[in-house]
Amino acid sequence: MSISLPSIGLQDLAPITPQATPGAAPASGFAQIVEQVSDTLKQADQMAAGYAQGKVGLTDAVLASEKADTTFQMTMAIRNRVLSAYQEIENLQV
Amino acid sequence: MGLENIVGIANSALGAQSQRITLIAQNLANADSMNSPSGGPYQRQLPVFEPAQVGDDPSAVGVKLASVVTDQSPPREIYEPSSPFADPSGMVAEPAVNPVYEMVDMMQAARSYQANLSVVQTANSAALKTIDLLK
Repeated sequence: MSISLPSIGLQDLAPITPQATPGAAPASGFAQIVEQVSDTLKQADQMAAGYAQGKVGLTDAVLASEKADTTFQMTMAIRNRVLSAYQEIENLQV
Repeated sequence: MGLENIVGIANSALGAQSQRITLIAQNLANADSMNSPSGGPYQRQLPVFEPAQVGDDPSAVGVKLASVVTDQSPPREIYEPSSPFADPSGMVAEPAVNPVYEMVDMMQAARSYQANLSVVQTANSAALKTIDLLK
């Protein structure tokens, strides 16, 4: 008997992958980073589901999740940096 | 990608050590199995490890289980005429599994697993500390 698990991954809660619109230029810069991080998170999610189904080893699943966490932290750090730089420029007195 | 490699290498060791513990579990479980499919008592299984490249980087050398060899030491002969496996002289061939050896081996495997987990932990905290530079 096979049980199909409902996917309750991060990507369902927050779709952060930009939708590719026809004719749009490929994502560049920060958008590209966000896309890659999103892929890493999805991968970790699949690994966790795979572990629950007995297809993936425990260490592989945990390490994928750990990697996703590190990548996410990295993105947040860059995002905070970019945002604070933007705000600093916005607050410049003319 | 230095830190990635470290986690990959440690991951290969974690896999290898858990396979080793699996074999130890198998040996302990079959310490009293008098009748194996190949005939005769169960024979102890031992892991053989070898270096193996992790991912695409040839400088990242992890470890993998190369093969499983069978311990060829002779079975223990015990006098037990009532056993269904006794030969005409009343001797029974028991598996040459010494639980004490297996326990020591298991402790070694568990320690090695923990050591490799520490490597992962160190690599991760180094990565996070580096990211902290951005904050």
